[in-house]
Amino acid sequence: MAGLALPSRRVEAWKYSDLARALPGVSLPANADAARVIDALAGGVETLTVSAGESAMVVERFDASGLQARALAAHVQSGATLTRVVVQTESDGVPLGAARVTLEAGASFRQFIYAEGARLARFETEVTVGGEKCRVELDGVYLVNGGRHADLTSQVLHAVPGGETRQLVKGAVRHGGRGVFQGKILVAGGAQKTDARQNHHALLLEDGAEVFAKPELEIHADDVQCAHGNTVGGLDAEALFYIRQRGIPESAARALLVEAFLTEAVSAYLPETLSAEVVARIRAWLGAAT
Amino acid sequence: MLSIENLRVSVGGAEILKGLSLVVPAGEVHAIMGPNGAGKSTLSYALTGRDGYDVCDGSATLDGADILGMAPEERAARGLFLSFQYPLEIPGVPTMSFLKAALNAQAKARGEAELPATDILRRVRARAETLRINPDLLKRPLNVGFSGGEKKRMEILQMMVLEPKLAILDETDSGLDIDALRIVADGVNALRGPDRAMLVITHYQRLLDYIRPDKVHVLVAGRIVDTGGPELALRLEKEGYDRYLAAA
Amino acid sequence: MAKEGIDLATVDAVRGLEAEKYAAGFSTDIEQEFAPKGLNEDTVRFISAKKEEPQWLLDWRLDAFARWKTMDEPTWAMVRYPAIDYQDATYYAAPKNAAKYKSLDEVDPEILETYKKLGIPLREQETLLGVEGAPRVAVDAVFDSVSVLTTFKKELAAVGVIFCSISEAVREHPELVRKYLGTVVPTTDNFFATLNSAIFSDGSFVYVPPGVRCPMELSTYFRMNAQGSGQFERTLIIIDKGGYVSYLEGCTAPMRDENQLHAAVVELVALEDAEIKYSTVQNWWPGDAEGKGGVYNFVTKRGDCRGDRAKISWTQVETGSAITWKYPSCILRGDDSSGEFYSIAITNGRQQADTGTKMIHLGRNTKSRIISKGISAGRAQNTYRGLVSIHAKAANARNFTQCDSLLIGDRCGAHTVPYVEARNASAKLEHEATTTKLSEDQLFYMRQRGIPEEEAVALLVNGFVRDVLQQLPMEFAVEAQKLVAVSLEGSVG
Repeated sequence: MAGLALPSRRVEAWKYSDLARALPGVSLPANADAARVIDALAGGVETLTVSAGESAMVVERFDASGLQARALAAHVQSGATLTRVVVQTESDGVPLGAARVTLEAGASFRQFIYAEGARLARFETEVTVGGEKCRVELDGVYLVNGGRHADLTSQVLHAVPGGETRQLVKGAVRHGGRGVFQGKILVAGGAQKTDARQNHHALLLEDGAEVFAKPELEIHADDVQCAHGNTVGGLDAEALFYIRQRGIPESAARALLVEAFLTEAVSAYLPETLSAEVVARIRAWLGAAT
Repeated sequence: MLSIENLRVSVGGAEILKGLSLVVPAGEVHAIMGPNGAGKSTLSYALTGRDGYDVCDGSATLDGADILGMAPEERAARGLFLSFQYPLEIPGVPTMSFLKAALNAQAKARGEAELPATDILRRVRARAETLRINPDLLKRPLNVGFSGGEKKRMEILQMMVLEPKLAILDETDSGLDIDALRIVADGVNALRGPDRAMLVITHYQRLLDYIRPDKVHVLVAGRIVDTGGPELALRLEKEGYDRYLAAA
Repeated sequence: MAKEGIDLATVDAVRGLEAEKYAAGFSTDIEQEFAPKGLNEDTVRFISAKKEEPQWLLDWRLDAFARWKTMDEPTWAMVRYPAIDYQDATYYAAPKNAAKYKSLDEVDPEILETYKKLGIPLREQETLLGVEGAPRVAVDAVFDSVSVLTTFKKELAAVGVIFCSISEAVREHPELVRKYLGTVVPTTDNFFATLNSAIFSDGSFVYVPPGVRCPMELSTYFRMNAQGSGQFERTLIIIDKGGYVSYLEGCTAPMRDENQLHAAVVELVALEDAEIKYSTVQNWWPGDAEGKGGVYNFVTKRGDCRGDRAKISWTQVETGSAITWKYPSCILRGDDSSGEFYSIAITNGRQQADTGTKMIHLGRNTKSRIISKGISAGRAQNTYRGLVSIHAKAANARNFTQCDSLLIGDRCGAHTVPYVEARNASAKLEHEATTTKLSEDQLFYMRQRGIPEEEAVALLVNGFVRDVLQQLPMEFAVEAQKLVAVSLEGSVG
């Protein structure tokens, strides 16, 4: 069929996630929007409106094999709050999730993504802060085993003044696994008093693990506070030694440190059952590792 | 020296100073006391020309010259100095360089010759010593990472180096412990002289034990509502501002 | 000592502003010869013939040109400009009889005067030779497409240092040129580097033999003069085992209404234990406040730490050019080698800069450090773009990156696009970026002390870029400070 080819590494937005390779033989409808590949693969976009002043939560689970694509377009009216939780567990499939969220004045969007990676897992989040005094929280944890790939990509557009964004993504990757973080904060001209903080921290647990990060700021207004921090590296040898000196075996010491590192990004706004599930999954993943 | 007449100043559309009049003759130290929100800091910013402090009416002259239309640096060159309540941090600009820049810019504006760098160095170091400022601080970027007390002492050091005609001390005592307060007051007192005037803005009487004013003015709701000698400060300390507030 | 010097100089420099805007904007009226307008194989042959090059180099150029014709101009940078008509330019311009000067006495006095006006008194420097306390900086003066003069050659030769134009090096040291040219930036590297490989005109060549610390600063001063021409220089610096050089580069061009193209390639090779410190003060004509004219600066600079413990440090002060597209990079191949990138990029008016670095960690225990200070004013766009790549074998690699942006006014932009690629678990990478505006409170505070607004801005900005200024050799630091202040004139109020 004469469709549009899937993006390969030559496409900047997919630089570190070669979709064409992960889904051989698949193509998009010829009229598809090249900037919204996941929406096209999902074959339809679910829509959701959170009415003024209300709160809503969506939980999306990705655990199928094969291609699993889902796209959500959400509109959060003034003063409303939308919480989105994504739980993706290890599989040989290609889970793809996209969320396009627009916020009216005083609205909040909170998102937590838990991803264990797959043949290729990618979660795209695109937030437009369209009203004043909005708050965006984008958090995530990725844990990637050998042969797995997890990609958390996001863009927050501050189109109006006074918005606030907090982003914290943490990852841990093992030999043969690949973690990708691409996060862009875009402050439009006139969006003064925007306050945006973006942080991504990743641990390479073994040689042969790969982490690719592209934290990006595009600022067109001067009276703003925007910062990002990004660290990638192995476990802190001194901390490890300190714990072992207290008599804790190396494997347990490692698990302890990695767990403490990761759970910092498990957001406080998660309902208790979900946060318990996430922490249990982190522990299980770490337990299997040691 | 300083003469303010019927000064009306608004900030963000709200009138804060509502017809304030005040005269500070050369050689005198005047204190302005008042409750929070009376307009004390507004007065110091309006006199020094900060953006956002809109003069709607009235006048202010320094040695007969109308200062309200001047740029902040022109007023400074004419001898107006403000010791800030919250001194700013200036990253990357060492204190010594900053003082040199200020001295030279003022000299240039007044058509005077610039001082040789070595004289400036000597002058700053000598003044710093009297204020017991660690000379290492002079090499560090101005106020960056300094404690509250260090910042206030830096303000006084700048005043002693720049030798203004009229110094406004805005809440200089806040953030100072008793020893630092004495050091700062000694510095201020050393500058008193027949050609210099000072306006000491304060919330508490405590500072006036050390810097004895010739006159005390009470500023309430944007106007001077009472004027007296040092004894007025003592009375305010005891009684507070209630009776003025009731009248306003 | 150096620090104190800078602090005091800051004040003097910013005070010396007055109305001097782009002091380098004059042009020199001398007789010049040009290649025919346009770009084709004949242009490549013309340039090669002018330089009396050997066949291998002509073939090398022609290969590059054939390749270039198949390439597309890159579009990923955050710079926007009308399509460049590569046929509507002259690729070779030289003062008549140039490249033949054997000594200062033969050089056209107009050219000497030009350099003097730009603050490079070539004659005086040589005359001062041997005078105690006189600055000792050897200069290669490149005027449009040719190097007109290199000073201090004899003194350098005495310790075995070769410093000459690349054209001369092709003639006199072909074995070195052939061994290293194109080994750091291959002819296939990118659109602009490939173009440069085909038509490069002149540039500098440096070779420092094993164990030699070059006894003076080396510098090249690039001057674009001719109308309707571009400059395509090629610089090659090789420091043999244990050698050291500090090299400075300055660039200016006359104010012209048309856009001039500058596509240079710089290749550095540092062998075992060698160290190269490369500093640039780039002040090409930036165009006027409305964005008319200005130099398009598309530059490929790369250093290769080919031996263990080699060290390459880039420092750049970018104040000029209408468009800057430049990523001085380090390939950290040798174990324990290190790379540094210190950058100040200032854009004002309608300038656009997309600049940064690549640190490619291949060897064990390799270290890199990136400090970038971007300042954007007027309607300018300023982007830091950088790559830190840790390869699988780069055990214990370390990177620290700090990118700070300062915005002056609400119509400019400041952007940060770092790429971080890590493939080794014992590596540690840290990246921090901040964006701030020039604070009105700080400005008022300084003005209250009597410092005029423009001077206050210059002081604050110099404070902001201080960490990088301190990396520059003294003579350049003072010049750079002046430039910082001049570049930002009219940006506030």
